[in-house]
Amino acid sequence: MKKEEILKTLHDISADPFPYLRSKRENGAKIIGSPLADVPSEMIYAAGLLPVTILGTNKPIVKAGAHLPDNACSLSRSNLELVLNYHPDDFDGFVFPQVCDTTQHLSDIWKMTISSEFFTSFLIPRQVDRKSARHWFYAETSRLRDNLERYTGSPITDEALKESFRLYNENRHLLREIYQIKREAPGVISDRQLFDLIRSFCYMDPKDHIPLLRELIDILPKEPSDDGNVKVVLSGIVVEPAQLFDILDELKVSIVGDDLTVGSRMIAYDVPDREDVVEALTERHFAKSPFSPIRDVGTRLYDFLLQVVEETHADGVIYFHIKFCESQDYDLPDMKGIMREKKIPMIVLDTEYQSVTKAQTKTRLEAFVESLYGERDNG
Amino acid sequence: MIVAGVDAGSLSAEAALVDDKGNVIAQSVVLMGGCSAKASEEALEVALREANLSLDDLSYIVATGCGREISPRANSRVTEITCIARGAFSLYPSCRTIIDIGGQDTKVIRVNERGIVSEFDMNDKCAAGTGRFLEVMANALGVSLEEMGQRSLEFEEDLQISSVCTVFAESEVISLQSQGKAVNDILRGIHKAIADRTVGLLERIGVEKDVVMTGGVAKNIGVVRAIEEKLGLSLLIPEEPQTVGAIGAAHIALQKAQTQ
Repeated sequence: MKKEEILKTLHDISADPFPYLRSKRENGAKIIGSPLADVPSEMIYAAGLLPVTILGTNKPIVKAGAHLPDNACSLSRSNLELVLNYHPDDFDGFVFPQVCDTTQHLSDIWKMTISSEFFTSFLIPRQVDRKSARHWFYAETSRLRDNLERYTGSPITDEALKESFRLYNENRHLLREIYQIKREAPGVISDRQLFDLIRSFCYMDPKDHIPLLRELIDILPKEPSDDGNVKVVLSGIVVEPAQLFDILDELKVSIVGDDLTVGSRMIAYDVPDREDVVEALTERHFAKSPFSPIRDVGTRLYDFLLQVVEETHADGVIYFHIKFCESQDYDLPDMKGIMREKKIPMIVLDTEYQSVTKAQTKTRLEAFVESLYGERDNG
Repeated sequence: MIVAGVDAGSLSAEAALVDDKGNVIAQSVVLMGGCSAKASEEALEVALREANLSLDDLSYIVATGCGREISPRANSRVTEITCIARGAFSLYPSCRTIIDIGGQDTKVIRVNERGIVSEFDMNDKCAAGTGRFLEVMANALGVSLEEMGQRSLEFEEDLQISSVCTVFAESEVISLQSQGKAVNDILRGIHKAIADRTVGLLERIGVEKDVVMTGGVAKNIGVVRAIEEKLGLSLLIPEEPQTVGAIGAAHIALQKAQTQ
């Protein structure tokens, strides 16, 4: 396949994964959906099931409003809408992570309103610096294993888990390799294309994703080259609607790093090789960078972002704030203060799943990018 | 060399012409409404007529404002945030904070000592507390836009208007009228409500002196005084606050023309 064909295939799946998922189902796959974040996909895959991260819908909210208030997090509302209204028959089951107050309530709503063959919650400790957090995560991962075994009627062997680790580690490694190629030569693929690759990782069987990425890496030029664009780091949880990446491309902005949950946080951390497979997953979880709801009580969230900015020599930070995400709401005053103190230009963009690329959002981004160019060219 | 900046706003369009030394040689304000290409054309024509020039005399045109993408003849397009900052800084080099209240949105901008935008925020989700809001309030109270400011300074009772949502505030104003409250007092309440909202927006980016106010609402002395009271400082108001974005666009045009 040519570069553009591979990128188009992954773009199409990223934009609408359901034709791909239906074809997998027709061939016997069982689809297990999970909203963000941190469900160990490797465990679901080792059970012979296909794990899929649910990333919401940009289509209008019709049914979710009856269950979640208008001022609930836009991601949670659109996740519920996606399954309740637009794709009620496209999943066989769900592993539902509870990572914040909204997902805790949504987990119960989900269980009561959506019928599926399989449902289990996955309770993730939010204060990762507590000693008990590690024991808790280990126990939850073991519980998930038991529940999946009961659902499929077959044991999840350590061998199957290790093979699953190997596949997902390779998939993540290839994505990191492409990210690094883009970092050194930002023009080789667009911002949108880079994140199409990461989003399609949320939906695809690694056995289908890996060959496409390998082929793409073979084709991409490897020589470092500067496209002259300003360089930014993206921060937050998820960038939605995905058309925001098109705006970044249009405004001549190159992404050189991020701390996004649907971004580097998803691809940066491999499962280590350990005799105890559940311990291996636990170790990986606690190695992950912080994100708004899951963190210690200190300044690790901000320190990590500063580190990414420093390592990538970015000109500025674009922080994507999911409308009504409480966790992010509480982080923002500190985040802004620290960026001001360090003199790192940052813009905070409120994003909402149903508001597809409003002119105001573009104006805000454009003005920020103009200031980055102004600082770089006249500074 | 003469260059132009055209600001196609939501309720009006403005144009400014500057010479190669950056002096403003003509400016215009055209009230047409609706981010139209025709409005920006007309604003440019009026400014050209004032300077006794024609389109052929212009070396470069920068368009800004919400209608910048549809402004004909523009050589390039720059956001109103950058242009207002540039315009305000060219008029007041001591300026570090700008408040711009236009027809449909409120912007607050911080600039550094080189006039480059360092931070900004906008109230752009609705027209609450903007020029359009004032038009609706003036209409509800049966006063002209021009007299609102001065009359509000002659208030007697310090009334509170709880909302700057155009719809809610209109019914609140009608309710106050039905209670027999004086128009001047209601106007004062309206201006204070705008000031609260504006200062709330400023709090997000911080205030550093000097503070310049631009946009059509800067012509309303009642709003200006109310903001000054809340901030505890005096605002710098350009002679023609509506053309600051166009002047900034013209300065950017000059820079682009000189580096072409």
